[in-house]
Amino acid sequence: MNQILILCIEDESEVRDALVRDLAPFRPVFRIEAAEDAADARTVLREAEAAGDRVGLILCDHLLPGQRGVDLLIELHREPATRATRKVLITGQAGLDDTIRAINQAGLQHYIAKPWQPADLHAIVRNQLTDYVMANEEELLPYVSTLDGPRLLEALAKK
Amino acid sequence: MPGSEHPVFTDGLHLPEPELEARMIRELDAFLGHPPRRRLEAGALLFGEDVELDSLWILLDGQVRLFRTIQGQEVVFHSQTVGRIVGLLAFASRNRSFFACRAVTPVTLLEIRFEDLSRALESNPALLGLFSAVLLRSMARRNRRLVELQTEVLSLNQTLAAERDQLARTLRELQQAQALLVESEKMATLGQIAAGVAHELNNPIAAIARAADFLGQDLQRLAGSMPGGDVFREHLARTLAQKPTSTREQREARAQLARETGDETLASRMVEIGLAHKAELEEVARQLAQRPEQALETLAGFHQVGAALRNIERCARRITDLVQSLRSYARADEPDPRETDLREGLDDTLNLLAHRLREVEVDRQYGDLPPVSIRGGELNQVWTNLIVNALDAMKNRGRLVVRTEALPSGHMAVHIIDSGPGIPPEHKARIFDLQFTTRQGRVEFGLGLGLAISRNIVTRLGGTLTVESSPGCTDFCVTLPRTPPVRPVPQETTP
Repeated sequence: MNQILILCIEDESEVRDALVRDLAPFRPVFRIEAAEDAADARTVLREAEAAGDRVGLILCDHLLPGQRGVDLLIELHREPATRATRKVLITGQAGLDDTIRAINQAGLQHYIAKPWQPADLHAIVRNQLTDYVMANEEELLPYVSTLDGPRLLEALAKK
Repeated sequence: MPGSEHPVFTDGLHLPEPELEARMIRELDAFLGHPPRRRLEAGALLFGEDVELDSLWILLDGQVRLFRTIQGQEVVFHSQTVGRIVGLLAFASRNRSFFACRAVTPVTLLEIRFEDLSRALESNPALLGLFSAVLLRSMARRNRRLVELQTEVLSLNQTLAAERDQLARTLRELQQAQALLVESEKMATLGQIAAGVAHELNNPIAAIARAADFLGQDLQRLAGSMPGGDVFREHLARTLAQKPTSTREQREARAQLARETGDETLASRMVEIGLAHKAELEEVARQLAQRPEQALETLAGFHQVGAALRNIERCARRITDLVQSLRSYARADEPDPRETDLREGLDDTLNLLAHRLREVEVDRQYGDLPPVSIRGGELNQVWTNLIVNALDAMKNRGRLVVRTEALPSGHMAVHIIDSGPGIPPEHKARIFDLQFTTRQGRVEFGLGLGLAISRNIVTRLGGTLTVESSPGCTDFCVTLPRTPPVRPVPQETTP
């Protein structure tokens, strides 16, 4: 079955573990993938495309080895396959200049400062994915229990 | 007749001055019929400047001075050079005085109205000659005096200009000294705060590290008391000791397992808890006497706890190392010099700058060094400045060489070498100047106060800080003596 992906890009394994585990509530419906740098993220995206999966949300750290998070998000925003993907920066160290660039050029939807609170993370991810499925999916019913149910039901009623 | 007038002039000029003046006074006095003398007290004004006069005065005794008032001040032009005749310029220029005249000592004067003088000179050719000669000498003397005055003004101006330059230099030095003071005060405060925070962090981080360890032990015991305990204990131990695997390796393992089991969800769960083969799961299920899916869930619970504990321990260790580096970097609690291995300070600095070194290849070329006697942390500011400059120059990407060596002279050398674009030749001469920064000027390659401060610290310890730079290789070199000078070397103000 084709699935919607949440991609976490974070180079520190302990932080990555925590982030992935904190996303457990979205697990039943979404596939969660982790990558440790930009090149690795590219591999995941290629494999997802080949398998026919969509990328609904990217949670990206800024200070990555190799390419910076913001630069990766800007590139991905220009590519058709990831244009609609919701993009969130999750970092402790992006400066103002980089953040402004991310908003203006990468369509950055949210900025999460480390250390994050799980409740905030859940709310942001739920909100972003709800936006994504409403804009991109035909079938909304499978997401009602995991995402923002009332908003999805309202959208369904209007159809 | 011209022949009879000419010799009169030359006659007078050939006489010695006292005699010339005495004869002139005698002739005038006789012509005027010995009028009463005028006497002035010292300090009394004879006439003001730029006023109408109808007399001139022959100074018989005492001294006067001629002055003009310039910007509220009496500026004396003549005192020794007045001569015998006072009111000369008024006589020459339609009765208006140019200078004012004041008695310096009590004076005795012979007053002669201009019209009387004219009559006397007309009627007495000898007097005309004498008067002309006195006049000429007087004017010559005053003229020489003016040249002297001009010369004095010139040399005064030169002195003033030199003093002004000196003042400007002193002001600049003062500003530099102040900037240094402010900076070192700021650093001292920051150092104290860093040391304080590091100290405060020690307790909680020790408690966290210990608590994680206790939890691991307790969990092992608890697991052991459960049915199938050995399986859990073994799995826990493995999880706790597990090295981080890359996301790439995890995906490969998952793909492999998915092919083996034909179930992607199962493969994904197995890889997450560190099972690489289907046979491992079957063995665990057999030992627990559970179905494989059930065994996987039970094991996953232990795995999650174990992985969380492992991450806590690993991160606590990282914080402990950072705190340790911060403490030894700041060393605010060490006022006295002690034998120090320079390489420790370099390592502390590199540890604290780790966040900027991710994409930098750090090559520590540490040669043997004898310990050096310095106050702890004193040089860390220098290492930080030099390394941060190197990272700025390289834009946090490239190769950083930190080399130490003992020199044959008994000095020690520390090189900080970066692979950045190099210092432009036009900047090279100025990089140790206090004012020079390319950061504010939006020039990419920035230095600021750091190098001036670093050089100051190194110089105080009796060492040197020099740089050699070409594109791709900028080498800052610090040399230090084994023992710093007892009395501090005076601070440098110009490189």
